[in-house]
Order: sequence, then structure tokens, then C-alpha cells
Amino acid sequence: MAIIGMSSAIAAIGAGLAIAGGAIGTGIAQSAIGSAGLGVIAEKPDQIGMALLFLVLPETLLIFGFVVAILIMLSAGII
Amino acid sequence: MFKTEPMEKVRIIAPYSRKPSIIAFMHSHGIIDIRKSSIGLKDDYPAADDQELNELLLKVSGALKLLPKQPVAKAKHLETRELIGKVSGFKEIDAIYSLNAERASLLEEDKELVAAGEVAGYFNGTGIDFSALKSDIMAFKAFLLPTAAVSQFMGALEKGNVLSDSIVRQISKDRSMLFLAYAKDAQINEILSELHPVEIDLKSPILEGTPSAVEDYVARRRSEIGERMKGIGGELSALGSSCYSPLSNYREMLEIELERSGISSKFKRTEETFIVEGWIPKAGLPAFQRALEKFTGGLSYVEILATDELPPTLVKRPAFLKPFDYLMEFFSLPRSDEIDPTWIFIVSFPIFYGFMISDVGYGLASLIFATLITRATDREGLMYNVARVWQLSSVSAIAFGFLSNEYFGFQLNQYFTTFHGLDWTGGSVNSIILLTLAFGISQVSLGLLFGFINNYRKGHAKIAVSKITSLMLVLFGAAAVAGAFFAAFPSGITEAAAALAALSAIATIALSGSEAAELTNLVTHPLSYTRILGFGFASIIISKLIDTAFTPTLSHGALDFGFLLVIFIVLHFLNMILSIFEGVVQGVRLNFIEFFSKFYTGNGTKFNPFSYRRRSSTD
Repeated sequence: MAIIGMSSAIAAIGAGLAIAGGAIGTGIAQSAIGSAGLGVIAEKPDQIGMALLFLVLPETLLIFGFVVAILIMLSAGII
Repeated sequence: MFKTEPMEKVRIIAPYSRKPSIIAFMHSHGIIDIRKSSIGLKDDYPAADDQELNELLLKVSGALKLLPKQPVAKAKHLETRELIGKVSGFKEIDAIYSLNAERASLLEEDKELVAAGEVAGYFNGTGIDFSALKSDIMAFKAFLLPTAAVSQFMGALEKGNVLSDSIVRQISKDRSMLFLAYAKDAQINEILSELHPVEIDLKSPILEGTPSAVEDYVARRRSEIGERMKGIGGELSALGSSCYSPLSNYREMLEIELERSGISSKFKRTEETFIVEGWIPKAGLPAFQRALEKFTGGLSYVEILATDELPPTLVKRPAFLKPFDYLMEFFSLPRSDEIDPTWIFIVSFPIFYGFMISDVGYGLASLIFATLITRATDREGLMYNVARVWQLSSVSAIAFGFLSNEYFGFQLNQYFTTFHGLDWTGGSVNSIILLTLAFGISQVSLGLLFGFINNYRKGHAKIAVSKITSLMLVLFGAAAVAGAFFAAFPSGITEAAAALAALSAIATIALSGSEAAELTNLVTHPLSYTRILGFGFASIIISKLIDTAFTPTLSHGALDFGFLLVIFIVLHFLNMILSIFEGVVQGVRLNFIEFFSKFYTGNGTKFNPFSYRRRSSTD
């Protein structure tokens, strides 16, 4: 098993938190948009494209978390 | 390339006496999108035979639905009155409807026979003769009820002391049949209404004689019906062979005639002339004018109208790229007065999709699935068009898979090339993230440039300049970040870029007014393109995990091999579905949200020419 230093470990935890924060935020936003979107599709099935687009909008939050995580790991030399 | 087809609004004035032939001429040319004329004259109206055409079309369409499909030979289009005469005199249509009515009646009778046969089965062995169940003083009823409820039911009836006779017969494990005989004036309905049993219909005229006699009759009659149904099927097949093709021709001709007849409601008229207004593609106008003049012998006049109305949108593209237009329409059709970004979508979507999949195996599987869907779906439908876009984009996924040296998570490039590809999980991450940012900066910058052009053309000078300052902010900001964090430029250039970016931001805020809040998007939208790395990275890591844990080997025996193989295939399939879904959705999103939001208005009106795509008739 590889042993990593304390600074790398803290960096890895930080990267994990960055992803987790983005994922939780995205999840909360998508739950509301998803249920509203399904309501729209039930009434107007032709609006599925728009509903899907709105559903994926908040994923940007997760992407930012991911980018921060990558930057942390790059600067800590983990990857 | 980025422009929709230029249009001209025209007004055609022609002699009323030639109206039917001129309408047919315009319909055949299929070049004019006819709109309701706004000139202050009397409204024109559809031809008198409109109603008759409609009724005949319904009749022919209905008859065609009853016939088995047959190959259709093309026929020459008939003039309206001749067509009406031919269809009205087509006697076989009545024969088809008559056979269908007979079939419906036999099916109804068969249903009654089945029900009567079932009732006879309940009474078999009870000694009851159905003919004896007709009496002036006695009434007879039969019910189906749960076996467990029989005693409660009988108890209630006996308590009322109304029964003369009764038979209980268990017909299945849980159900029983109960036959009751009672005096007609007995107060039984009140008791029955409280118990809610399912009544058996004993009034069917088929129920005559003993149950076994009824069963024999039912079997014999059903056999006769079966024979007749076969006969009807044969007769309809024979009619189909001789009539399907001409009826298909007539249906198409009637549809064409109805369209031609109905279009008159958009015209205006005087005593001697009728007036048509509509949009014609500029490129096709001279040829149309010449052809119309020749057709009418110089008796028509085409006037080009100066108007502020927004022309309809017409885009011309090679047929194999039409599915991209379909997706654009699904989102929102470009307006004719703005830049059509479809070409950018056509180029960038497959790149984004391919980059996010980046696996030769997944790309090949996508290609196969997409091809199968295109073969199984209707060409005009959403599924077909999405599958066509997916099919073209799969080629890009294969190419990016080769560049990334990923084959279902395995590295195979070394077996046929010295190119070892990008390392998504190690040394290449830095380069990939910069590449995705470069995609983002390029596309957002292009969007702002398009925004400048659109606003400049519409005379929105202030917003047009704000698009340029936004563009400067993006480019100088990117240069400053590249210089500060990646040492791409000397410090002097970096500082100058940062200063210019700050100035551009101030100018953008000053010029944009209420839209200044969009400034944050100039930072977040280019960053948003790093999702290409995010989703690609996730897909590749998952496929590597699957390979590490479940790659089947024969070292532990054939059973283990088979078990691991199933898990390996299922997990890769799931990962592939997830990757494809995200690849499509995110690829579309980056275009429609991050890129289009900089310039696109959409909601254009599609150019809808007055035309008909003939399938079974010729002009």
C-alpha cells in the first residue's frame, strides 16, 4: 500500500470536499427542476428537450467542484 | 454559410378565370409560402367542391385502411371534376365497406355466442332446459359469486322466504353459479341489491333448449362464422389486389385537390382577378416569375413588396446533415434576420461528444446502436434524427478513443502504432483541462462576435459594442489567467492583459444596462466547458475499474470465467449508456446554453411552401 504525506492527504480531502459540495448543490437544484420538468412533460410531451436541458443546467456547480478538485490534486502532485 | 436563405415578399395578381390552373401551377412549383393577403379587397373563398372533396377523401382513406397494403403504381393526376367522377363511380368502395360491416356484425355475433356458450357450460348437468325459463308467473335469475359467499347469500334469500327453487353449482375453486326460481311478484330485488352478485344473462336468444344443445349450436355457428371471416379476408385481399393502388392514387389526388381548394381562403379577389401574397426565396424568384408569365401568357403580374415583416426561415444543407437542423428546430429555429449557428453546432457537437466518450469500443457500440435505431424508426421522427446525429458523432468518439488509447478501458494502441495517446488519469490531465478551456473560450468568443453582428444588423449599436467589450474581457481575461497561473506570457504582457480585461469589464457594465448581471457568465461559461474533461474522466475511470475487477480469465475455471464475463459486459454496457447519455445531453447543452446565449434569439417561423410531396401520382 502506498503511503502519502500529510499535505497530500489534506489536499485529497480538500479535493473530495470540493466535489462533495458541488454534488450536493447540484442534487438539491436538480431535485426541484426534475420534478417540475416531469410535470411539464406530463402536460406537454414535446417539451422533453427543454426539460432535459433545464435539468442539466445546475451540473455546472458540480463541474466547478470537479475543476477545483483537479487543480488541488495537480498542485499537490497527486496526479 | 451562417445565413438563412434571403426571401422576397411578393404579390401575384392573375385573372380569376384561370385561378384553378394557376393554383395548380404554384402547388407544383412548391416555391411560395402563401400568407393571408392584407390588401383591402374582398376575401376569396374555397371552391364549391371543397365539401365534396372532403367527403370523398374520408371515404377513400377509410376504405384503404380496411385493405391489406399492396404495392402502388403511379398514376397521372386527374382534373378536379374528373377525379370526383372517378371516385364517386368506384363501386368497389361500397363493397369494401359492406364486407367490413358484415365482419363487424359477425364479430358481434361471435361475442354473443361465446357468452351463451359459457352460460350453457354453467348449466350443463343441471337438467335445466332454457326453453322452460319462460313463464308468466315465475321469474328466473342466475348469478356468479364467490363460493365462500354462497351460504350467506342463500341465508338472506331463505330468510325473505321468496324462493321456489334454487341450484348451486361450483364452477371453479373459488366461484359458484347460483340459479334461482321465484314467483314474479316476490320481493327479491331488494335482497339482491344489498348483496351485489354478478348476474348471468339468461335472456340471450341463443339460449334455447338444453345446455348441451346450446353448446352444439354455438360450436357449429362459430365454425360457420370462422369460415365466413376467412371468406371475407379473402375477398378483401382480392379487392386489395385490384383496388389498393388506384385508391392510393385517388387519396393522394384528393389531398392535393383539397389543399389547392382550401388555399383560396388566403386570397383576395376582385370581379376579374385574384390576389396572392407570400414569400419566395430570392434566388428562385426570377425563374418563378418567368415560368408564371409563360404559363399565363403574360396575364399575371408579380409585384415585389417592401415590408418590415420578418421573413420565414429557410436553410439549405446537404441531406445527411438534415438531422442537425431537426435538432435545431426542436430547440428553436433561427430567425431569418440573425446568424444561423447550425454549422457551428454540426462541427462542435461531435467533437464534444467524441471527447466525452473517448473510447474506441464505446464509439463502435454507439455506431452500431445508432445504425440499428435509424433502420427501425420513422425518418420524420425525433428518434431517427437523434440517432442520425448520434451515428455521425460516434465516428468522432472512435477517433478520440484512438487518441486516448482507450478500448473498453484497455490500452491497445501499442499493438499497431507507436502512438500511445493521452493519459486521462495522469500526465495529460493538465493538457486536457487547458484544451477544454480553449474550446470554451473559442466558442464563447465566437458567440459574442455573432452577438455583435446580430445586434449591429438590427441597429442595436450599444448592445453591439457591449458584445465587443465582453469579447475583449474574455480574451484579455484568458490571457491574464494564462500568464499568471501557467506562465504563458511575460509578466508585462500579463499585467497589461489584466488591466485591459478590467477596463473591458467596466465598459461592458456601462453598456449592457440591465444585462450587466450576465457579466458573471463570461467567466463561468468558458469554465463550464471543463465538463468535457469531467464526464470523459468519469467514463474512463469507471471502465478501468470494471476492467481491474471483472476482466474474465480462465485461471479459476470456466464457471468463474462465464460469471465474470456476464458482469464485465453488463457493467460496461451500463457505463456506456451513462457516458452516451451525458455525452449527448452535455454536448447539446454546451452549444444551446453556453454558446447560443451570447447571440441567439430563435423562434423563427419555418418556410412552409405551398407544395405536396407526391408519392403515388405524377403531375
